[in-house]
Amino acid sequence: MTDTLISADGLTLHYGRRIAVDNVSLAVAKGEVLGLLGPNGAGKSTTLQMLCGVLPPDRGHIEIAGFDLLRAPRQAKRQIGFLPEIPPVYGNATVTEYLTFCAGLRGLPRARWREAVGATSERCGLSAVGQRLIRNLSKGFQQRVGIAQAIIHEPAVVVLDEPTVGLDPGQVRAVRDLIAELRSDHAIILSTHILGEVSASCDRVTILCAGRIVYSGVLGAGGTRWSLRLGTAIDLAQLLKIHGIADASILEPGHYAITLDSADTDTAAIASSIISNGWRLLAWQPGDDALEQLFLSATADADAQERAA
Amino acid sequence: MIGLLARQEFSNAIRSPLAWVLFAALQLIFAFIFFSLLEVFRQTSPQLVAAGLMHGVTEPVVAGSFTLLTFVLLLVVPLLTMRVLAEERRDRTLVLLLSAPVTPLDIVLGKFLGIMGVIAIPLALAALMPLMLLAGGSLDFGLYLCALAGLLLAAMFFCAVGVCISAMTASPALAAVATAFVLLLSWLANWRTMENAGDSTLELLSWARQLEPFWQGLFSTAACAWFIITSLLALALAAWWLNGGRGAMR
Repeated sequence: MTDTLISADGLTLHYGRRIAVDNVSLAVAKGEVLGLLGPNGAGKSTTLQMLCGVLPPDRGHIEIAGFDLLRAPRQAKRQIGFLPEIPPVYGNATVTEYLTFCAGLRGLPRARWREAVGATSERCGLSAVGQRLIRNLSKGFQQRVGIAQAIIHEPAVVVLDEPTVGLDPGQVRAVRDLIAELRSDHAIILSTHILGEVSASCDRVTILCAGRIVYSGVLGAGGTRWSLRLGTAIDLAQLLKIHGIADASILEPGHYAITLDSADTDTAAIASSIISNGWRLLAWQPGDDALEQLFLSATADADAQERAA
Repeated sequence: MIGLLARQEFSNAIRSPLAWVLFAALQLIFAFIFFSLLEVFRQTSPQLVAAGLMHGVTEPVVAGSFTLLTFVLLLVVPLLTMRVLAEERRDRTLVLLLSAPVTPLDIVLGKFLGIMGVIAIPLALAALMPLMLLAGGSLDFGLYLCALAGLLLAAMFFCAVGVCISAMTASPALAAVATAFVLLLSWLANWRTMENAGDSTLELLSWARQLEPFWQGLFSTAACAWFIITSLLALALAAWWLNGGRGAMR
């Protein structure tokens, strides 16, 4: 965490008397992708809008590439690229005109507009449609234009709000590849409610529910989170005796979320110890499934608290 | 940055058919007003000369037609300014501007200057029309320039009010109606004071009253200041509103 490019501390925002975002803090370093998960209406978009300077928070502090967003907004905003939920494109401009406007708006010097528009169009696969009006493009291409405007000025921080909504599987793949390519020299925050998206692209995940962070943790690239389903009910203590398992929790009867000692742990060895213990092994797999359970249990807890309150 | 925003607004506006329909309508209406006044002048000038009331063609025809043109602008300007910010809010493109390294005041000024550029097109055509009188006589250029200044100040004030109201809503139609309503109300403030002479508080609110010296060939610095101050206030209010009511400068 030496190279933190964006950090937010204690963000709080009210809409009237309703609290939309409650004391949310997060930090993302260069080369890192943070996934922001949460059910609809959890405050994901509101949080992202605050991070990008669109909505001023009621309370809290945001720092982007060393600049305080509220005290030095110009310098801080220069370092942000933001793709909102609905791509902010002007339908009656051509792709090239629009991107040229964005290059200027984001503070690139005029001499670099042409080159930046060319390079970004190339990168986002827009070169062939440069002269088309944006309103005549398909949803997928409009989304690409939206991504292009977010990265045209090489910002330190790229914030993408549901970048793959409404795209076909091929386009989703292309967006994932683009994120993978961007991560090397940017900090990326990605909001989504597609869990597969998070396990495919993100290093860490933060789950929001009803405006609060209900979970925040690492998703190892090799995956230290595994999902285990057994046909025999056993105690957690028994599971923890197995060599290589650092932590375990019950998601539902017979379904366990396992944290491995490290990403290199021999998972086949764990499977054979489970079998040799005589437990009926139904499933033993990395990531996804466990993430889904994690998501459901984290948000269900928050819901229960909400109702109790 | 303001220049970039202004250019974007200008090119966006003149791409819509609405702007061209309004230009055409404005030109047609102004031509009708102008030639009607000219015809009235042609018929009545012998009597005016005889009565010693004749001051030339400029005041009744040129200043007269510009006066009427401001009332046409009162209906046209809201239709041009309605979309500047309300449409951006409705289409969720405002986020692009708000997340960019520009202040809300930059955004508002850019939009305002862009839309002033648009309205300048029909006004330039209207300003040219009186010059054709030079073919058959002479013009009082002092009066002509004064009336033109009045027309421009009125257009500026209307645009500023329009941009301000457009910043407050996500509905362009509502912005247009509200702008026309506010401008109409501000004009009516003048009416009431005509009945109650001496009531200068309301008079202060009327753009039509502020314009009166310009139609008589007086370049009133006080009235000029009134237009500039009210316009700046409207634009500052718009910037404040864009920023969620938290200051206009950042």
